[in-house]
Amino acid sequence: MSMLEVTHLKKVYTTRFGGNQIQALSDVTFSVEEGEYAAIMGESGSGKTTLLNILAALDKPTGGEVLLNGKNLQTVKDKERSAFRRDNLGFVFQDFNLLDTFTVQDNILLPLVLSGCNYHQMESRLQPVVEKLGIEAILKKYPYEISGGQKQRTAVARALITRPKMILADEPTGALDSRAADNLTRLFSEINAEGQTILMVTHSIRAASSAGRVLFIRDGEVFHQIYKGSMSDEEMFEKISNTLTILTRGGERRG
Amino acid sequence: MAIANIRSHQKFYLPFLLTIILSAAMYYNMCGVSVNTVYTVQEATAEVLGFGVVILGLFSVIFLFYTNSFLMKRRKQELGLYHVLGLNRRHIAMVLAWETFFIAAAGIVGGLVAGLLLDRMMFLIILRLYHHPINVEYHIYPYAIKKTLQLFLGIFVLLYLYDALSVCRSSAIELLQSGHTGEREPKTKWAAAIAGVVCVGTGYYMANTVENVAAALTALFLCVLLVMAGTYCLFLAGSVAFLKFLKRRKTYYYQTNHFVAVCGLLYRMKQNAVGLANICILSTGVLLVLSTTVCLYAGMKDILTVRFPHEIEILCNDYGEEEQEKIERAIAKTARDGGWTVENYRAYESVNVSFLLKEGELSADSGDTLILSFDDFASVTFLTDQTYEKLTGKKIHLPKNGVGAYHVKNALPKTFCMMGNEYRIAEELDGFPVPNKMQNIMSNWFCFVMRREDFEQFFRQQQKLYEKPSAMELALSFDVSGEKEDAVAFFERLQETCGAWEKQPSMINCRYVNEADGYILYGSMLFLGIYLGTMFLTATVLIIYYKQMMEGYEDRGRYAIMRKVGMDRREIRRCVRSQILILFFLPLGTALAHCLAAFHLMTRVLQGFYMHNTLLFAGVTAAVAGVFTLGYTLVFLITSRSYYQIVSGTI
Repeated sequence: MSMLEVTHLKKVYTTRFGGNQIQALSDVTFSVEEGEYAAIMGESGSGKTTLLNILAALDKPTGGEVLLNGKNLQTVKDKERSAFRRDNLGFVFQDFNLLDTFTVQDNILLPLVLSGCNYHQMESRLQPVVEKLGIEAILKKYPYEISGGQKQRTAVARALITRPKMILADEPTGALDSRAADNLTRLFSEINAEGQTILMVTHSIRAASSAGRVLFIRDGEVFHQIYKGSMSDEEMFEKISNTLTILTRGGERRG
Repeated sequence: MAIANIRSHQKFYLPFLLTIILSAAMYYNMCGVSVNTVYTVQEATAEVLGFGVVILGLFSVIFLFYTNSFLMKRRKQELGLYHVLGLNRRHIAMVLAWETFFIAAAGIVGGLVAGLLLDRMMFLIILRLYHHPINVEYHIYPYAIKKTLQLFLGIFVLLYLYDALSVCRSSAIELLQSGHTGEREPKTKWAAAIAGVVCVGTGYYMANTVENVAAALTALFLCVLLVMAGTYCLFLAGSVAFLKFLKRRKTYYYQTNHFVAVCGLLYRMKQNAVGLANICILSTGVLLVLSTTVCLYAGMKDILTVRFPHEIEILCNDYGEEEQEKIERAIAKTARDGGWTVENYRAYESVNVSFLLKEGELSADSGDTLILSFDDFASVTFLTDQTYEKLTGKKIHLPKNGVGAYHVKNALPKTFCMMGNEYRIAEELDGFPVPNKMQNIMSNWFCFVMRREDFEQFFRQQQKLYEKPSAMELALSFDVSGEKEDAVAFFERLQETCGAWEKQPSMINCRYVNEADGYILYGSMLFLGIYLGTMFLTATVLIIYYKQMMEGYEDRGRYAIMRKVGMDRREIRRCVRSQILILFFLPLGTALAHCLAAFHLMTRVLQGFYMHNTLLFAGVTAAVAGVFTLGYTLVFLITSRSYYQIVSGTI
């Protein structure tokens, strides 16, 4: 069974006065297997963010369903939903979403604190994650005192510390310079190599070329997908950019 | 555009407008009351009320500036946007001017109308407090209107200049980002924290060790300053130290609701601290002012019985036997004419002399020594052994140059020197029939009984040595049969009779006439107390309201992130509550502690007003504190609800 199954997902936004309807997602169907590293690409306005919000259970779909580990997110009650999200999903956002009232360490621990862990457990979990991400030195600092790359690594640490089933990343490299972005993509590949399932939404071909599979979305539908297979990152990069060119030219659907 | 702005920010402008209306109305009323001759029957009352006008005016200025700063902080961002959109500074200044104008016009007019309406109510309240039957007339005071207009227009011109300058000086980018400038994490300032503890500690210690009224009055001022400074230091540094301590206790800190609350508080502590300290000090002010004035007013009867043991009291200086007979005849005649009888009649002669007290020696107070402190003085009341016997019915045998002494404690040795002569304390008395005039004010007060010969010798010597020698005071006091009105009538007739004499008594007092005066004086003080209390209270409420609003908007983003990370509504509500509880109890608790510490001091101060009923004061204080806590809780519940609404708004 797949880790994540999305079937015929549909989302229609209605403007405030009920006049215009905007179709963000028309019919999205795909699945992500356990241990996979998938990337979703598409132009702005193609419905990427809407999709991610629905996957994260922050938004409700108009039709279709999302099964995470066989469980339908929409049927979970609001009270349990945050707990469910906390325990099963890790988030990495474009703008980091770190709280500047907390130190780096406390930011990382936040989800554990929210689920009521005791302190010893927190400490034992914190150590390996922090070592892996190389941010031991900045644990006592505040978010406004560290660089963008460090911020994003903190956010990754926060996502990993709950040992989630899947990490959802929304344009994780979007606010980073190219070096920090490369570091982050490498980091994602490493995490994935250790068996972590990752689903990433991105604009960046470089970031996407590290993924095992790339899905292309256009006009609210999955338009095309590419498997990396045994390709190197460079070949993958080539292939993605070709696909994107076709995508923007409005080529016929295939795949 | 200005109107649209105001409307779109009504959550902020509405309370601001209310503040203006309220302070204008109160100022108008206070002015009106202070110039109305009906209220100001006494000079002292006029002074008390005039003082109130000044305080109220000052307070309005400070307070409006404070609330305005909240508003501006919120508005700057928006004005910055206008700037970016192409409005130049002059346009922005114009928009601001119109806004200020509308607010000012609405506030002042509203305030005056409210003031006129309130006026009638106030009139009734005051007259009730005064126990004074006067016809209620309706007045409009042009003088008060003029003064109110002057003050508030002045305030608004200043406010406008201040706002316009601060907006024009900063660049558009600064304006846009002003809402986001985060504070650095505060460093623990141990020096300030310790200074705070020391200040508050000293203040508390002083407040609880004062012995007498004079010391209490000097201490009061110092204590208020010390405790105020200490409170600011404590809130600024102490709270940071405390929160850091909580943060270090890992098992406490890493719990869902503490975690968010402690960090949130620590992050904004500098800004919080001043607000909290303000709330705390204002609350203490409200509590103290209200409890003392209510207590004085409620304890009127007690005060009068302490002050005037008898209904009528006549004091005469340096009266010979002939003159004493004359006044006694006058009393008897007045009683006969009116059909009254004189009861509990008491007459005695005494002398009250003030000395310099140094190393157990009493020396003449020549008047040219620099006053060091009240403790360097001693006030002594002298009676002859015959008078003592007459008043108490107890015989006292004294040797030559021996005194029977009361309330000496350890201030004098057994054998002591007084104006160069040696005296010996032959007997220590445990009570005295007459009061020492200064016993409410000074700590060194004694009462001596002497043999008649010694007494006369001493009196003559005293007359030589002193520039202004003390007089031999004859005190006559008695009750009059019948009701209050009989005593008052007796008093008036006696006053008339004596008024025609060549050598008049120095003072004739009637308890009930003094009572009426007292009601007017203490009534006006109570009125002022309530008035200032209301003002402080409004200030407290508004500060809390604005604080919650401001922080709500700042915290909104933070809670949105927490929700994304996985925090549900219930948890958010719990966090909010935990944070608010700390903000709530910190100033209230401190204010109550301050009041408790001030209790001893305040009882001494009240003694200066002849108020000795500590139990009554305790009761009144407790009641005032109770009511205050209730109101405070209510305000907090309401504001924290709107805080929660703001915080959960975007989620």
